Amino acid sequence: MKLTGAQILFQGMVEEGVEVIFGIPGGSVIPLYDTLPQYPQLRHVLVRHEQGAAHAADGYARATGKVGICLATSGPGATNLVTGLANAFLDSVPMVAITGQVASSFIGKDAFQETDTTGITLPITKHNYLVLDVNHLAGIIKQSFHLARTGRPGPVLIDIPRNIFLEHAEFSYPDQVDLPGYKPILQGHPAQIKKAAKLINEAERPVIIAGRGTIIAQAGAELKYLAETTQTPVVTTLLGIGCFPEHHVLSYGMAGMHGMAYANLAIDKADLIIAVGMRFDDRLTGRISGFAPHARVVHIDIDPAEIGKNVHVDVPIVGDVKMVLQELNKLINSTQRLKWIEQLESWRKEHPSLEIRDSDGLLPQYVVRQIYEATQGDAIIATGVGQHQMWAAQHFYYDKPNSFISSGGLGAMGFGLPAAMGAKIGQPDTTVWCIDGDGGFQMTIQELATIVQENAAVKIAILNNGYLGMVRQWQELFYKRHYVATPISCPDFVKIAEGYCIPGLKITNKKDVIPAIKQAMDHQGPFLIDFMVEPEENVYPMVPPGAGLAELLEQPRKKAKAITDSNKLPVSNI
Amino acid sequence: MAATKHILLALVEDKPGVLNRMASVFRRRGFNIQSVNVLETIETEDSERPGLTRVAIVVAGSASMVGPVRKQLEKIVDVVKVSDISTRDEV
Repeated sequence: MKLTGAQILFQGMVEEGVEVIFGIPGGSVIPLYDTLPQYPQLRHVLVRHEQGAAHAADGYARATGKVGICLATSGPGATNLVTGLANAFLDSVPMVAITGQVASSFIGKDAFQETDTTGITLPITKHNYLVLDVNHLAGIIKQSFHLARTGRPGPVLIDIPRNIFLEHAEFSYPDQVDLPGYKPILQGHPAQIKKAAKLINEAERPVIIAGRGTIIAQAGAELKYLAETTQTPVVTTLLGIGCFPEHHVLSYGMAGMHGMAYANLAIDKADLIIAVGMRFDDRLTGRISGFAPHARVVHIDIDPAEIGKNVHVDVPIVGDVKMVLQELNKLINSTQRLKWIEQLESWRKEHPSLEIRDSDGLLPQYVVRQIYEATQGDAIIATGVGQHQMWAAQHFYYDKPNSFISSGGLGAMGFGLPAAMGAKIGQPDTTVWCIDGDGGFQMTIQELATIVQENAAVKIAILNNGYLGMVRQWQELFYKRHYVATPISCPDFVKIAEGYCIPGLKITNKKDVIPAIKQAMDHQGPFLIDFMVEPEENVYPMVPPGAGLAELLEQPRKKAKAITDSNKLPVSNI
Repeated sequence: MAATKHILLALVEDKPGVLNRMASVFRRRGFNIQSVNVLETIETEDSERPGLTRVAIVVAGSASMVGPVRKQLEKIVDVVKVSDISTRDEV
């Protein structure tokens, strides 16, 4: 059967189970869009900016576990995808991005809307393709989906010149891929697993640090078995949130720069770190030379390049987290660790990181907690990046994987709204809240129009403090309150929402928070609440840049007080 | 750690852009490549499939720097295998 390139692309998507495409048309993809109505099973979501398309595909992928699809035209369409691709790359999100390209005969001639898209996206995609022969297209689509969703997932980009959409080729969708250079290791090495089990069985103060790899591998049950059998406390990375129920007695929450004090102290005093599906990001480890100084390290990850990259590892196990844990769980002994757990519990009491300070003011932490109470945790929370992101990570309790959707590795402000939209489109029956800051919300605010057009009932909570809050916090703590370029004005968000036909409320008093959240939840469609929170509230605990995990600042009564004296902080990655 | 000469020998798919992908891994870390040699293509039996090529890259760096680079090179989909042959005994 002969099909056009455009038909082959959509037929391939259908074969791969694609249901939603986030995109915007433009010159070089007009022939592609012309073909789209032939495939009514593919829902097209018309975003307002390509960055929104990529972030929405990302949020969709995280909420559903499926491959997210974004589509853009050549030139500016493709360059606008860049932030979203980098975001998906750093957070290992399965995505296939389609970009149109100028016709083959114009490539390399600086034609109208030509950019070297594969060149630009080379370091921020798992792989990318420039299609120069329509006969190769079906195979490339097959490979792209395979690469995006297997091994360590990531974004794959296919750049397709305009003429390829129009040319014909015999279509048969391959059922196999042939990639000699791509063979993800799934089974962990038995000898290494044995060594790890021995360390776990002999450890006195073990800690599990679980990351997003645990969620990707759907290894929650295996992780729980490991933790419960060996009575090992579990802390998570930011993106690991939800892989282990936060209400579990062995859960000690998120660790790292704004992690729980007790989680960080546990890592600091541990004699064994069992790192599961994570990559020792600097926001997790703090000063690397001070990371887990008493511990040996077992590192389980599917990406061999992550092993030993940041932290010295005693027992590396490359493999699929689920498969490795299944094997490991056969070798572990049932253990009691009363003394160690008691120690952690006393830290939990001495350092109540989730205590919200007494205040008549409208505290952002209080707002997040009330969203938790209203939803009883049965919701997806998507965030932007900054203070609100950390409060959303801290003060909401996540018991399910994929319930916290956030830009971790890239730290891309503007992620919140489009990601929430993608999540809601992927999980229409789940309550989705976008918790965002007033700064980041203005970066992708235009997706309000998409939310309305697609009737995606996203609930939006803006924690509005009139600052680029996280930078302001750093300026306060480390730059002598030198607030340069952080006070930020914003429009009347309720009026903006009204302009998009989204009802909204502006909340300035604590007593109005609960009724406002209820009103938002009771409303059928999207709803926006602009919470005017304490302008100079800080995120605590905080491990200052360059400090070790135990040298953390806690919520001050009046002034920030360090647990240990750490006035002389070395220069670090800012 | 002392910078020593490392010879990385890679087996790669003979496709456009592979050298760019490999060079990018070095560029990102500020490595100066001392020399690159692309050897002759080994044709595959299936004429539809691209052949394989060997690429030899010489860089100066400590083992702790070159090690991770080798692993990141192996992550490239078009790269089949990379060995650091400078650590082998002289034949």
